[in-house]
Amino acid sequence: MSDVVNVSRRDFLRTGLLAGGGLVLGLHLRLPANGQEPDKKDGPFALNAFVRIGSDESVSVVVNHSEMGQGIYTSMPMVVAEELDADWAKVRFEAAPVAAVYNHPAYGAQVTGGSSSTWVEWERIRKAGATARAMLIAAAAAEWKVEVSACGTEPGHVVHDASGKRLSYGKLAEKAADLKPPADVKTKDPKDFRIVGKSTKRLDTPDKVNGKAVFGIDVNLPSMLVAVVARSPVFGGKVKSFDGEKAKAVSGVKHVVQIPRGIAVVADGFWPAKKGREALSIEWDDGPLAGFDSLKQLDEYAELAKKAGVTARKDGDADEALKKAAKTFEAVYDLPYLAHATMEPINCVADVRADHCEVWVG
Amino acid sequence: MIKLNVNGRDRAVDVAGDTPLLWVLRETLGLTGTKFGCGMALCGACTVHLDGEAVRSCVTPVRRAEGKKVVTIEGLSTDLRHPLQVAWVEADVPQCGYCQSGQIMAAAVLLRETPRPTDADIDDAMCGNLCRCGTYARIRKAIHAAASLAAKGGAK
Repeated sequence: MSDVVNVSRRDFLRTGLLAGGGLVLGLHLRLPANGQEPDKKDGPFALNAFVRIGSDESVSVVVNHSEMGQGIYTSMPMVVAEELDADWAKVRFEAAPVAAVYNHPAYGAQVTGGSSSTWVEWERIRKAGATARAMLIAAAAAEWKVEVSACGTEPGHVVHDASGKRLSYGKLAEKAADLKPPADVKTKDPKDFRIVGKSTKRLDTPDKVNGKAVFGIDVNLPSMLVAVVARSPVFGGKVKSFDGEKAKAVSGVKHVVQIPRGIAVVADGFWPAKKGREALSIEWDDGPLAGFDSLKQLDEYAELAKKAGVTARKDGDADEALKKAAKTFEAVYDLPYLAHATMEPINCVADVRADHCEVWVG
Repeated sequence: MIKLNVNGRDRAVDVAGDTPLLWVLRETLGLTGTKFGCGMALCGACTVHLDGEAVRSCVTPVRRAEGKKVVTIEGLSTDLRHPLQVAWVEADVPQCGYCQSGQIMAAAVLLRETPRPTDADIDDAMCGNLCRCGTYARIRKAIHAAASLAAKGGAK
């Protein structure tokens, strides 16, 4: 399990990340995920890689997993806000940039999948929230010149019960961000949870009902070209020969390029690229699966199903039990191959530069 | 140049007349709230209003929109206060969200034609808008809620 890594505000702004042990990797963070340069005076201030607090009291939780409808843009902020003792009304999400600290703790790369995001991040983002809370308390205690142990929190505030003093997280964030994070923090007893476990409205809904949510396919870069690919009608097939002259003659088409899986038509928009693809003339080599017949394959599978297979587990004597059964039932189930049929067509934007390449995938 | 009015603003676009309205909205005008799903009028993700009617912008040549009024999800309201948007947020309808612009634009025309729709009215009007997350039950609930809100004089 990775430890919480403190990314100081200045380092975060300069390089976008600090990985464990202060190793600075040469990755780029052109802009924060919200596309705006943070105001140097008002923050937001990074208390660690997952928590950023602005002078306006906003609490941004940096989410290192992709939102695909499963709700991670809400559930991760809930967990962090729980331990941070944040005011939920002030909590928002921010997509994480690319950085080693955001790698999936079990898979070792920045990846979302396998229904793993919540459980795999649970411990470390609880610690991220609890650590940030401890830093805010330390900043307030220093300001008030009182013991840290005499201070506590209420949603969005550090409080000192003896004097009745209160300071909001937004006012403490800049000082807290410059403190050394505590080595170890206690997380809450789950019986004290006030956010986790409660039905909570998704944070990403407003942008999904006004057209503002940006999906991979919505990324649009200056002078970006659009490519569509003519692929073999048979899986594994290859181009034998092609004529791209008519495609090149379509207004807006810039390039016609052979790639391992087919022919790519590159144009200044989707429509000319698609028209260019329709104008291609391609002779295909259908490859090793040229004679493939899915009905025949189903018959083969049915035959194979009659043979003894690999035993994954054997408890008791099933054959004997079936022989003695008063009633038995037999059925054959077969399922066709199905496409995932995502609503958003699989797409990718690549911004390739001399020294780096940035990729968006939808 | 083809002239059309998009979300109340007069626009002139220099594109081939057979270019689908969808690509003019998304690529030429940068209105990416309208989605590309199938390109064959099968999924409804690209639904917009053309002179008040719901159309599949992926198969609507832009020349058909010449001189007409186009409204996209971005033009439905400027403040998230359209009854459908209020109801959608309240019912937490979207999951991935990709189909939702089209769902809402289709529902807007339904409510104009049928202010208090039955479940059957909703199913009839919305069956051309696919949702792979399967949010249909919440869509139905939200349309009923939006109809009530509108009947009470809107969400404002």
